[in-house]
Amino acid sequence: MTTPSDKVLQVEDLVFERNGCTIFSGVNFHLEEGELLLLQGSNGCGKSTLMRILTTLVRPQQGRVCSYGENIYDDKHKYLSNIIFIGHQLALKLALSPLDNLNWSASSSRDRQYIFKVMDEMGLGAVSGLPCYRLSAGQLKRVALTKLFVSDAKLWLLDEPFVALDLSGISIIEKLINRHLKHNGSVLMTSHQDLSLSNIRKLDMSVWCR
Amino acid sequence: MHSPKTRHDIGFYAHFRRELSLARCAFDATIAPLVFMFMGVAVIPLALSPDTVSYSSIAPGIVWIMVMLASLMSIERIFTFDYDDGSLEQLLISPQLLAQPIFGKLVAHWVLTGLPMALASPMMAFVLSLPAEGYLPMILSIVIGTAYLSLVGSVCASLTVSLGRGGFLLPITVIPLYMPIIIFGSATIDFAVSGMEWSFPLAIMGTLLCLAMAVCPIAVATIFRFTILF
Repeated sequence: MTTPSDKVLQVEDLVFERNGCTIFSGVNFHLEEGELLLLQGSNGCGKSTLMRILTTLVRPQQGRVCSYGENIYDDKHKYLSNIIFIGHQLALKLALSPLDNLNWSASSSRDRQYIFKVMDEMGLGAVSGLPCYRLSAGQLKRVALTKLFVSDAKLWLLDEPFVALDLSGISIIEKLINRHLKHNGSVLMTSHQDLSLSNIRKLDMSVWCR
Repeated sequence: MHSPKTRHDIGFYAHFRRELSLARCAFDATIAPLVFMFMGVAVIPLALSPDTVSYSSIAPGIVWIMVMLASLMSIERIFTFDYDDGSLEQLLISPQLLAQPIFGKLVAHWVLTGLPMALASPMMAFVLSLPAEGYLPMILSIVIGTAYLSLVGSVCASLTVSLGRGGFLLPITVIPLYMPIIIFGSATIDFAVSGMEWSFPLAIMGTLLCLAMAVCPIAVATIFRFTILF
C-alpha cells in the first residue's frame, strides 16, 4: 500500500466552472512515481483545463490537488520546481535558434555539450543553429519536447505531445517517456493517439463531464 | 529557500539580456517608435506655417507629445508576444519571483525605446529650432520621462494583454497616467528656454520615476497572477 504522502499527485473532488457553466466536477485520481497516466476524452471536455489546474495557472472552484501529501498552493515554489509543462503554446522564440531556446529553458546543471547531444537524439542536429521561424511545425514541436531532456523535473505534464509529430518523432518521445518512468519519474498526458507504450493507466474524462 | 534551478531563475539580468538579444533579431520593430517620432516631427512644419507660429515656442510641447505617442506605440506590444507564444505562462509557472524578470523586461524596453529617443531628440529639436539652452534639459527630461512611461504603461499593458484585441483600451487607460510626465517634461524644457530654474520640474519627474520603479513591477506581477486565465 502507498500512503497519500507517496503520491506525486492526488486530486480530490475537483470542480471547475467557466462563466457559470460546469466543465467538470468530482474529478478524483492519483498519480504515483514511475507511472504514466493518459487522460482521454472528447474535445472540449476539459482535458487542457485540468492540465492548467495542475500547473497552478488556473484555480479550481472546489477541490484540492496535493503533491506528496501537501496542497500544491501551500508551497507553490517547491511544487513548481518539480514540474515541467508543455502545452499547445510551445513558448519558443521564433527569432532565436533551437539551441538558444533550449539553453534558456535548460536547467543550470546542463552544459551546451549535453544540449547538442540531446538535439542530435531528437533529430534536430542539422537545424540547431537556424532561426526557429525557418522550422516546420513538427520540428518546432520536437524542439519544445527537447525541453523535457534538459530539465530536472520529476513530473511531466504534457498536453497533446504528439500533435504535429511524425512516426519517428512519436517513437523517440515514447522512448524518452519510458526512460523517464524507469527513473521513477511520472507523466500525465493527454493524447488522442494510440500509443505503443506498455504500463499506461488510462483515465476517461467524460465520466466527470457535464 | 530553494536554490536556483534553471538558468532564467537568475531573474533580472537574464531577462534583460534576453530582451536585448530578441530585439537584435527583430530590429525593425525595435526602431519603429524612433522612426515614428521623427516622421511626426518632420510633418509639423508642413502643417503649421512658420509665418503664423514660432516653432521654438511650441517645440517643448511637440517634442513631448511625439515622445509620448512613440512610447505608447511600443508599450502596447511589450507583453503580447510572450502572451501569444506561451512564454508568459511558462514564466508564471517557473519557481521564482515574478517582479524581477518583469523589471528586467521593462528596463530592456526603456533601453531599446526611451534611451534612443533621448539620444536622438537633439535632431528633433534642431528641426523645431529649439534654442540651444533647451537641449540638455530636454535630453534629461526624456531620459527620466520615458522610463516612467515604460513602467506605468506596462501596468496598463498587463491589464489589457489577455483581452486579445484590447488595442483601444490601452490608450484610454494609459494616457491619464502619462499626463504628469507630459506636463513636467515640457515644463522642464520651457523653463530652460525662458531662463528659469528647470531643475524643479525635472526633480518632480525623478520623484515620479522613483515611485513608479517601486510600484510598477510588483503591480504587473500581481496583475498577471490574478488575471491570466488563458
